[in-house]
Amino acid sequence: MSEGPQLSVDLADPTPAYEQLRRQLDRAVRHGVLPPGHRLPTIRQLARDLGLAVGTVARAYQELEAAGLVSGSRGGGTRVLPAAVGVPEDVDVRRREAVAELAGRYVAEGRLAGAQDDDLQAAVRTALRASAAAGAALRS
Amino acid sequence: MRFLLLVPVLVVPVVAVVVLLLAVTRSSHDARMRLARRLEGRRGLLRLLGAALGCVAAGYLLAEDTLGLGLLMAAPAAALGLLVGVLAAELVVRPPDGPRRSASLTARVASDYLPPRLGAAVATTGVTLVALAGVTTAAGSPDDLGRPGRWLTYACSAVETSSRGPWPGSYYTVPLLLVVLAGTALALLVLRTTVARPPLLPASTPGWPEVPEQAVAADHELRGQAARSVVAGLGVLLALPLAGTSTLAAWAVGSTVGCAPDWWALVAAGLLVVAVLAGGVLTWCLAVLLVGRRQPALAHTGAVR
Repeated sequence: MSEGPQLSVDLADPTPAYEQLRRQLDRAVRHGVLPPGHRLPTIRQLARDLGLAVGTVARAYQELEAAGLVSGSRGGGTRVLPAAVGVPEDVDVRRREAVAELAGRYVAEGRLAGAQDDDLQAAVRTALRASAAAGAALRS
Repeated sequence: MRFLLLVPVLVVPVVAVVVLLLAVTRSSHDARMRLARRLEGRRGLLRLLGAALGCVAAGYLLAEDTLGLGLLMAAPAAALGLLVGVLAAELVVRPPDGPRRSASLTARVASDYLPPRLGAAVATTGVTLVALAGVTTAAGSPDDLGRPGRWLTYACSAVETSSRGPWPGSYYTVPLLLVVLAGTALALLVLRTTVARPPLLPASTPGWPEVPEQAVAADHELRGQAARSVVAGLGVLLALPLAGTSTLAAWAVGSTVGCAPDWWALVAAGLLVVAVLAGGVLTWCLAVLLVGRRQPALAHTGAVR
């Protein structure tokens, strides 16, 4: 089976669940993580997997559709539109910008938590190792 | 005395339950994995209970057999019980309820889990059974007591007829086709439930990035196992009646000697071939159900820890 990207929802977060989903899906589409034509899970599947109401997931999908990122059709599911992803160079630039932004936020939050440079770098290395181990175990 | 027939079908599932429970309660240091294994143990128990229920129903039908109808319905009854057990096992998986939840962005479709070759064999068996039952129903005639569709009668001349029975006419095929219809609908429902149910191991715990990926693989394997059980169960439901129907029809057609056309012998031979092929599909399905590969899917999820 193919290991795919995942969505996460934090119900303790004041941001509504549909908005959390919309943001993550928006990012995954714009950064090319979900390629053009990629079929998203059905609303019902995602709602059951996340333990959310169907309407919550449907709202996130509707907003993505309104933004021109995905297109839904009866029987064909919801698919990523080619125009939403753009040319590969743009995708690379956007991805680098997004990673830089995330790294900046990580460093800022880490500093507020009292972490030093070594702590921050060690945490990133640990997370990368865990992710690589998971991928290797999945493929074995 | 007839009740003694039920003893083996009750003992085997009980022994299997004990073996399964021993297998799933192996020690683990991971509470999440323990919970997941416990859930999988419950699911296994439900599947076995369904199969045991089907076996009991089949035993009852065999013990209370009337003119071969119970014999014909025994295998479909056992298969229906199996399907009900798989359905119950899929329904006990609940959506995650923790504050942090994760889900894969990969769309799940039934074709990801269906065994292609076994699925094609079972589909062919179903089409053949319906077609053969349609022909034998049309060719059936009442028996000596006026029960419709129990004999095959051939008019040798205006005054002479030759009859053979039992024949798989409407007396047998109507209830059989109803059960086949119900079984197919149930199998589709179970497959849909298998694909749509939430993952067995929801990624609800933050700070464990390796577990979700493992869980996806384990969950995929468990859904595949359920789909294989469904297809094999449906195969049993279809293949044994097809083997019985074609064997009975071959005997009736082949033994209508004297006045029937010569090509009836060819038909009888063809029906016997169908019976042998149905027996092959039946053996295949039983092998999948009884000795099929049972991956310790959840054991993989603990490997990284």
